[in-house]
Order: sequence, then C-alpha cells, then structure tokens
Amino acid sequence: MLFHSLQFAVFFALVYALYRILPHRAQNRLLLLASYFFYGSWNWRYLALILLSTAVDYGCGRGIAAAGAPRRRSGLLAISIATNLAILGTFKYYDFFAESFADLVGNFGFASEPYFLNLALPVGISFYTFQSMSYSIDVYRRKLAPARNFWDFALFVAFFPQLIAGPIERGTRLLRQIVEPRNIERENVLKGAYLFGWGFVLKVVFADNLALVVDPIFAAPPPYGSLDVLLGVYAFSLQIFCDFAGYSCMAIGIARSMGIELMENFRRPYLAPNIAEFWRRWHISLSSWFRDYVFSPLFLALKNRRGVRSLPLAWRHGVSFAITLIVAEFLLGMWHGAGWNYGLFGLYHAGAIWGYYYTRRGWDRMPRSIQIVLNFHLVCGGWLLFRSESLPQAAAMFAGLLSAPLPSPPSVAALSILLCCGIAIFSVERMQEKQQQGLWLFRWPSPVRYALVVFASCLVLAFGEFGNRPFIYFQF
Amino acid sequence: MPVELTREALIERFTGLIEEQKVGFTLTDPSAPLDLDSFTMMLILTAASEMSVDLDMEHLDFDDFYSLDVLVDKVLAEAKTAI
Repeated sequence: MLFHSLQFAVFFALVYALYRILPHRAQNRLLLLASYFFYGSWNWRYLALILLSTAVDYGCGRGIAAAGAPRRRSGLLAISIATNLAILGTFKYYDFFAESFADLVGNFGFASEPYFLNLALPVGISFYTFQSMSYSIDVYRRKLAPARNFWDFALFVAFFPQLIAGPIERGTRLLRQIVEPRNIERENVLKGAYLFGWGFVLKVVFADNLALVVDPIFAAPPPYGSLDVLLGVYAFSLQIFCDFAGYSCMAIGIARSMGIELMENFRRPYLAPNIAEFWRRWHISLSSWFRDYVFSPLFLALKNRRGVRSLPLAWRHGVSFAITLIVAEFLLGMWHGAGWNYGLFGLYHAGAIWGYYYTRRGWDRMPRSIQIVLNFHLVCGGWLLFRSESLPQAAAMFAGLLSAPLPSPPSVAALSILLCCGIAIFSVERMQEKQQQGLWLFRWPSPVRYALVVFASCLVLAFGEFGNRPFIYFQF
Repeated sequence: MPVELTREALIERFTGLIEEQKVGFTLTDPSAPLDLDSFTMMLILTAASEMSVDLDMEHLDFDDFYSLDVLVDKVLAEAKTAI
C-alpha cells in the first residue's frame, strides 16, 4: 500500500475518521492495528518479525532498567542487538555473503555449493530493526526510561507512517509522544496536509518522471557515452532526492495531522557547501543514528586504545577518526543493500569526508556557490556507485565519463525532463534555504498560498506519473 | 602539556581548537551556538581526554556541544564526578 495510491487514501481516511473521535488510549490501539494491517498488506507473514523484534526489545528494555549488575545489563543489551542483527542478517544479507564467499573461494580453485535461503526481503526491515535497537541502547545508556506498556512500545516500533522507510525515530522523541495525550490543532492538520501534498508532488511529478530518464540509461549495456552518463547521474541524483524526501515529507505530514511530530529527514542537502555538511542534511535520521550508535562509541573506544592513547593529540584524533570513519561509512553504505557497490559507496564517502577535513582551509575559502557546485558533483560520483547494478557497470560508467559522446545523443525529451525538474527543485530548495525552513509557504498571504496549491494540483494532473512505482528506499 | 582544569583554561583550549578548524571564525561569545561538525567534536573529546576527562556514551549528549559554555560545564561536571 503506497502513500500515493488510492488504497492508501481509503485506508487513511477510515483510520483518521476513527482516530479523531477516539480517546487517547484507544487512539494508540487503533494506530497499532492500522500499522499491522498496513504492513500486513505487503506480506502478513513478515509481521512475525516485527513482533519478535518488539517482544525482545520490550523485554530487554524492562530487564536492563531493572538489573543492577553491569554484566546483566550488558548481557540483555547484547540479546537485543543480536536478535535485531540476526533478523537483518538472515533476511537481508545471508544469501549475498554466501554467494560472495563461494565466489571468493572459487577464485582460489576451491568449489563450494553454499545453501541459499532465497527469502524475499521484508520491506522496511532495516528501518524498524534500527529503530527498535536504538531504544534498547538508549535504555542501557540511561537516556530513556523503559516503556511501561507493551502495546505502546509495539506502536513505537510499527507506527505506520514511518514503518517502511523512516524517518528512523528515537524512543526519546516518538515514544514520549505516543505515551502522552496529543493535541490535534488546526495548524497541525494544515501543515500535515501541506507536507503530504508537497511530498506527493515530489514523488509523482518529479521522481517518477525522472525515473523514465534514469532507468533506460542504467539498464543499457556498455559502452556508455559521456553525455548519457552525465544525464543518467544528474537525473538519478534528483530522482533519489525527490523520491526519498517525498516519502519523508508524506510520512511527516501524515504523522503531524495526527498530532505526532516526526524528525526532519532532509534539510536541502544539495545546497550543502561540503560533503560533511551534506551528511548532516541527507537522511538525517540514519546519519545521526550512525553517529550516536556506531561512530561516536567506536571513536571513544579507539582513542583510548593502547598505542593510540600515547600519540600526540593531532595523531591520536586523526588515526581514531580515520579508522572510525571508514568503518562507520562502510556499514552505512552496506545498510542500504546487500551489494559491494553499496559498501564502495560508503567508502567513497569516507574518503571524501576525510579529504574535506584535511583540505578545508582551502575548500572553505572558495566562494560558497562554487563549494555547492563542486560538492554536488562529488555527491553525484557516489550516486553513480549507488545506482549501478554491479561494480563492473559502475567502472564502465566512470570510464564512459571520460569518453566521447556516443553517436546517438540523449533525446530532447529526456533533457527537457531533467532541465525542468532541476530548475523547479533547486528553485524551491533555494527559497527554503533562504527562509531557513521547509514550511515557508505558511508565511505567505492566503491568496498566494491557494494559487500555489492550485498550480501544484495542475502539475500533478498534467505531469503526474501514476504507475504506482514503489519508493526507492522500500528495497532497503 | 597538561592543562589545569579551570573554566578559563578550558575555554581558552577549546576556543583555540574550534577556531583552528573553522575558517574565518572567531569565538567571542561563549554562549553563542557553535554548530560543530563531528571532526571538531571528536577533537574536543580527545583534548578533554588528554586532561583526564573521558566522556563515555552514557554521559555524552551531542546537545552538550551547543555552545562553549554548555560544553565547558559538561567537562567540568564530568571531571568532578571522576574525582
């Protein structure tokens, strides 16, 4: 059930009508049932995985808070993390690593016939396992009191607007809003509707039209001409942004109309002046998750290791930072999917971030507009790795960038789509950046707002792609 | 060289590190928002560690890097706990 489908419109209308008339506790139970129905509409069997993750983390959270002995606390945390990683490992990574292992030993002349599970990937698995794990870790770190009510906690794990593709919430934010009674003010409903509408436009007008440009280029066999590669990678950089930011906007909008504020997931990432800033603006809920639960603890542990601790400050910090960055970015890349191109995508960004920090005295002195343009192209290089079907394809495309254009240049239609979408998206992003917020429309007089809403509706009717193309991040 | 754990010494030490990392930035108001990147945050944590104040993830909150005042308060509080 996609947010931009008729089924979802009917589903949400029914849920919302009931939600508005029920008291707080009943609202939570309704949302839980709706969330399980929403998830079950993809594959009801995989609801068992959500229930397993929920039950284990609820039990571990209660146990950790009640336990006095540090060993018992860390043991329970280990059970929580191991369960979630086991779910993720089995359903997302097992077949990939089994195949990679067989390929590796095959290169040394050994034959192996690994056992493959051939399981369909449960949608949203990387999102809800990470969200659930963060709860246990926060309880362990004493930053969050454990949930008292199992059903409230179950709703925290399965809340349908963000269950499939985030934002990956924290217990410190979302759980509190679930437990406490919510006020649904008119402003929330209006802003929620605006966010949903803008996300809808991003998805059906921009992302799905750009997909018509991107897909044939990446589906074609090599060799690639430089113009095709440029067109493909520029279009994909816009497509993935509109697709994922569109989904996030819709999720945040739906939750907001119910009086629940989800965290911001995108803050004009393509206007970031450097790659480190890009990651503070792109998929914020995931990058901050890795910062809090992977990067920082690893860095703190590394800097105190024997051999590192005795180094001078700059070296101690530099060595710890470089190792931590490589590990964290590689894992962040692999989080996206079971493929070495995702790992390489992470390492590419680790190299770019490290390079920025050690050259920033020069980089930061350049005019801001040049920084933004250069950084956008640096990000595009990463998208080429990310979108390629395989590493050989990525290599062929990078080689294509340096070659001459092929005799058949890109079509005028494809160029027009890229140009129109690019100008529209960057204009809106620039406006939001100037106002320093996404809800800039609400500062404008009513007639202008209504005119823009009518214009957006015309855009949807005229150019909307209603092929029910799933969101890119659903595969993760 | 070990730095004495006083408010003034910490402010001077951290200001030096932050200004070294942020091109063209001069920190005049310790209560002003810092907007630090993770590289500088980790540098500050390493510097604090050299002053025998080791913050772990149970005690660390990234909101503590909001301003120099908040950061210095955190390090001093942590040093007190350690003693």
